[in-house]
Amino acid sequence: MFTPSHNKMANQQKVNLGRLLYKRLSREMKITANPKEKLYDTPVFQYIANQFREHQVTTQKLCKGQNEVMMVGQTYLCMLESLRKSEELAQMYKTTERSIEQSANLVGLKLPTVDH
Amino acid sequence: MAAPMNTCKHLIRTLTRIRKPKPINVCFIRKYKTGGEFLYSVQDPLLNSHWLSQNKTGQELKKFYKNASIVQNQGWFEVNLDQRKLRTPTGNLFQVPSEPLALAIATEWNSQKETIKRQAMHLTTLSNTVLDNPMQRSRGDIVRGVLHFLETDTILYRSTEPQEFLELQKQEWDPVLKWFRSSYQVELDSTTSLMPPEIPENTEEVITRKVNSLNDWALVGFQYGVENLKSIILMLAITDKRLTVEKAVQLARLETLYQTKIWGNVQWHHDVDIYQLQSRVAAAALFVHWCSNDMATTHKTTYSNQT
Repeated sequence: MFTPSHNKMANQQKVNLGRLLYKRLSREMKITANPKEKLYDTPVFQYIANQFREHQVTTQKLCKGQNEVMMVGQTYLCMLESLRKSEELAQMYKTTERSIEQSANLVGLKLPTVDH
Repeated sequence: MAAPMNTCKHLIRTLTRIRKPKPINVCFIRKYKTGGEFLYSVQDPLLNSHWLSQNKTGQELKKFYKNASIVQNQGWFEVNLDQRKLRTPTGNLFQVPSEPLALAIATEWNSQKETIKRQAMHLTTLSNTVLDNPMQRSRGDIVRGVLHFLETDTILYRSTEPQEFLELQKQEWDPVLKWFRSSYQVELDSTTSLMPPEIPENTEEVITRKVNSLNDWALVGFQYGVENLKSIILMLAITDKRLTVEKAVQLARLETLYQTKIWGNVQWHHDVDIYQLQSRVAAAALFVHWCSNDMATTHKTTYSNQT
């Protein structure tokens, strides 16, 4: 059932997914990282690069399933992307709360003055 | 001769003060009781306010450091903001048992722009919860809190109308339920009534054992994930690498998804909800993975003294 060509294709798909993940992770890290520093030098990026290098042959570290390390990478990517997008939406839709005086002015009223 | 010596000393002191105009911080020496021993720690009260998002006047805290890095110290990983060690809100030293977790936390701190937004730093918050245990929860408390969600698990509750939604639930939730049953060798049925389904004893036992097998750190992360997804089964699917976070969040919000398809999506409400949920659950999943025994270097039990 699993012919050598089938395996080859599955492997190629895995490699492509890996490349895509790597690209997206790098993009996210570039966006959120310090612009002064080169991304390559940061310890975080080196860790990610090492992980990719180490697990080239197989990502099955524990008995928990295939592509385990990939899924961790995808989860981290999901977290970074979601944080960025929720921040963007917050910026897009942010409003300032009206002060009491402004709210009163909406209906044509003025705040009462207090005599000290 | 006392007088010239004193003036000499005074002169030197003022000269050095001019050269180094650093304010002199008053430091306390505080006794911390940890597990029966007394530890002494030097604590800077001026610095303590830095570990909250607001200073004393309630304004937002500006980013007060340039770079966050990690150091390894006796098997634990600490985060340094410039030269200062990161601390928890109660002043404890911030330590995590896993290197990738420390790196990710340092990245969280590095990602802050001008002000510090603690609500976006989920991994830091989770670590602080484990280290400080602000609600004095024991392991039993947390496990009980998680198990509480078993009988109200989202994917067990099916609504019978509309018919299309019933089909959608079967299509999306049944495969996960099937995987759960076969993977853990338990029986669990979905229900269409308002009453919670009956949980067989064996199921409860198996799940309790599974949740209890997590160490203190992973347990806190797991509980946070279950709380957000409102489902143990979905969180287990994530930690067992059976579902992606995006898919699990989608399944947890299935009804909302169905309704927005019919009535339309409101970006500033629904999308914000999706992204916030995703970021929280992803943080929880990463926390569980990185703190699990095989990934972490040490296995300090913070709850061992409480029942």
